Amino acid sequence: MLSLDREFLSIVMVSLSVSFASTFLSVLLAIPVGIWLATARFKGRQITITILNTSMSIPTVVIGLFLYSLLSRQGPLGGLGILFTPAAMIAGQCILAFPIIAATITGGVSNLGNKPYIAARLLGASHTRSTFLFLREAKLIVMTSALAGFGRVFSEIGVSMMLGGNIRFYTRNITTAIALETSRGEFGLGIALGIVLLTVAFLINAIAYSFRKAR
Amino acid sequence: MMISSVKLENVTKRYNGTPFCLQIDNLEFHNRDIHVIVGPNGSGKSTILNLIAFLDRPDAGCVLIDGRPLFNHDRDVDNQLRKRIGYVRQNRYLFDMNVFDNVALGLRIRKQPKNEIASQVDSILPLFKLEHLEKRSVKSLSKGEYQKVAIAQVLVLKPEIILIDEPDANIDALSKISIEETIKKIQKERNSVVIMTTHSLKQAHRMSPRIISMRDGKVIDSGEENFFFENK
Amino acid sequence: MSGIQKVILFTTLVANMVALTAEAGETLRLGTTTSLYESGLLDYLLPVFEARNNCKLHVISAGTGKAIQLGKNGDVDVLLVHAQEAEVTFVKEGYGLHRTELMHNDFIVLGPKEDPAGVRTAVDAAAAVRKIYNTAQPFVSRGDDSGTDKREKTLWSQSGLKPDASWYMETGQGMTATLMIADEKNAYCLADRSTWLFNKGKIRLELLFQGGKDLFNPYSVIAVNPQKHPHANYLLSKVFIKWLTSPECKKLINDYKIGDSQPFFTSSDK
Repeated sequence: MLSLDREFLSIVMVSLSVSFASTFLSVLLAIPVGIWLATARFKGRQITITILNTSMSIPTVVIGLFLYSLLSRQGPLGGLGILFTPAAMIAGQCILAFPIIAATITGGVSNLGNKPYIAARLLGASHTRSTFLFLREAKLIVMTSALAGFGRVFSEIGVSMMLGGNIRFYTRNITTAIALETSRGEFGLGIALGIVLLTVAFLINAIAYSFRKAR
Repeated sequence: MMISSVKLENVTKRYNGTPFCLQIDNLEFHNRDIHVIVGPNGSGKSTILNLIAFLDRPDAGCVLIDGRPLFNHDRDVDNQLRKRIGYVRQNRYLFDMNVFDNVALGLRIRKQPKNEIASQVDSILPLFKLEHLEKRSVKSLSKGEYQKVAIAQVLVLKPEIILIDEPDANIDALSKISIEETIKKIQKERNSVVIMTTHSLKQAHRMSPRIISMRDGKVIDSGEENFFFENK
Repeated sequence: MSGIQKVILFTTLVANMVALTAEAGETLRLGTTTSLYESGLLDYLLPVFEARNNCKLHVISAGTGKAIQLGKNGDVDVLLVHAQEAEVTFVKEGYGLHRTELMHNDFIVLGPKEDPAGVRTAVDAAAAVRKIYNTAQPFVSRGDDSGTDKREKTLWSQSGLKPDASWYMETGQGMTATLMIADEKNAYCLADRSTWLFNKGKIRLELLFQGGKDLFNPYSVIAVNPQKHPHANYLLSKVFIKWLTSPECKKLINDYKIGDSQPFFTSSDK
C-alpha cells in the first residue's frame, strides 16, 4: 500500500475541490434564475417553481446515469472527452446542486421582495447601484443556499462514482473511497474517511446555524 | 430655487383588479406648514404620496411640482427633481448595516466627501436621540428606534419635499412625540413641503391645522378654507 | 473565518482543481478487471511505467464485461482483461489490436471450512460444482459478466446444471466485494487466486479445490483500435503493451508477491 497519508489527502482534496467547484458554479447560475423566478410574473411561473422543488429529490444515480449516457464517447457529448474526469463529476454535481440552491434563493428573495431595491432608488441610487444594494441584502440568502447545495453534493456518491470512475489520485473522493474500502473489507480506512465526511457535514451545519442566529 | 408647491390636478388613479379609484380635482401643498392627510386604510393617502414621489403615474390628470409636471420627456430634469424629494414609505426598509451607515447611505450615493457625511449624520442623530446607537446593527433596534432611523435616513438629505407615510404606527408614545416634534422643527427651519399621512385624527391635530380628510379615494374635507389661496 | 482565511481557502481549492484537471504529461486510460486491480499488482507495476514515460495511467476497474464495453465505446485506450472468448470477439469485430497474452494464474473454489458439499474430494472443477449443486449449498457468484463470472457460468453450463436461486446468489460486484459477501454467508465461491491471496487474512473461507485446465486463467492486454476511436491514445498503448511484455516487466510480474505466494505467472511465449 502506497503512502496512506498522501492518498488520504488526495481523496479529501478531490471531494472538497469538486464539491466546492460545483457549488460555486451552481450559485453563479442560480442567482439570476432565482431572482428572476422570485420577481418575474409569467404564465408558467408556478409550474416552473414546482418542477424546481421536485428536482431536488432526483436520485443521484439517475443523474449519474443520464450524464453518463451523454458523456460517453458513444454519446452525443462524447467529443468533450470528460467522462471519468473531475470535470464530469462537477457537471453532475452542478445538476444536483442547482435545484436546491435556486429554490432557496427564490424563496428567500420572494420574502425579501423589492423593498431594498425601491428603498435604494428612493434614496437617489441608480438602477445599477440599487440592484447592487439589493444583492448585498440578499447575500445571506445566497450564503444559506450555497451551504445547502454544498451539503448535498459533498456527501453524494451516485454521480461521483458513475461519472468519475473512482480513479485513484484523480477522481476518487471520500464517498467513492468509502464504498471501495468497505467492499474490500478495509473498514479502518473507510471509517477514517467517514469521520472526515461527518466532520465537514457538521461544520457546514454549524456555519448555517450561525447565520440563522445572526438574523 | 427652493420648491414651494406641489399640486394634483384632475388626477385619477386605478389599480387593476381592485375597486379602488383615486379621484382628486384640485389639491395643493405649500411649504409654509405641515400638511396631514387623514383617512382609513385604503382611502388613497399612500397613493397620493406615491404619485408625488415618482413611484407611480396617474391614469389621468397631472402632478405638478412648482408648476412643472412629473415624468416630463426630459429624463435628467426628472432625475434631478427626484433627488429633492424624500419619501419615508410605510413599508420602510433599512439595510443590513449599522445605524450610521444606513443614515449615511443617501449621502454616500450622492458622493459627498467623507468628513461632510460624518458631520451631517452626527448632527441629525441627536435630533432623534440616536447618537448612542450609531454603531448598532439595525437588526437589534426597537420598533421606535427603527422608525426614527428610517426617517433620519431621509431627512439627512435635506429634501425640499418630505413625504412621510404613517410616521409612527406601532410605536410608544414617547417616541411618537419626539418624532413629531422633530418633523415640525425641520419643516420650520427649512421651509420644506411636508406631507404626512396618518389614520389618527388626534395625531393629525397635533401636527397641523391643515388637515385633509380622505375616504374611498376622494377628498371629503380639505381643511382650512383659506389654505389653498394663501400665497407665500 | 476572517476575510484573509477565506481567500486562502478559496485559492487553495481552486489551485487544486486546476491541478486536478490539468493533464500532467500524457494520460493513458486502462480498463481492467476488478480481480486484477484488487490484487494490487497494478499499484506495484504501473508507477514504473508512469515514471519511465512521464505519463499518468488512469485505471478504471470494472468487471471484464464492462471493461470490454468501455473499450468498445472508446472510453478507455487499452484493456487488461481475462475473458478469452470475449477478447477474441472484441478483436474480430475490429475494436481491438495487438492482443497479447501477458500472464496467467488460476481460479480456485473457496468455501466453508466444514465443506458440507465435499468439494475437497472432487476430481475436477466440474465435479466440484456438481457436488455443490447436489447438496444445494449456498454459492455466491460475481454475476457481473466479468472474466471470473464467465468462467464460473461455463462450469455450470458445461455440466448442464442450472443453479437455483434459493442457494445461488449473484452480487453484481467486484471480486473482493463478492468474497466478503461469500465470507459473511459462509458460502462457496469461485475466485481468482490473486484476490484470494490478497484477502486471505481477512476471511475464514478456505481453499477447497484447485487445479485442472478448467480453472486456467490467462490475462491479455489489448489496445483499442484507433480506426474505431481516433482519439484513443494508440501510440502510448503500443508502448505500454511493448513494455508489459518486455523481459524487465515479466520479471517484475513474477517477482510480485502477496504474502509469500506468487499470484501471477508470465506466459512463456512472446
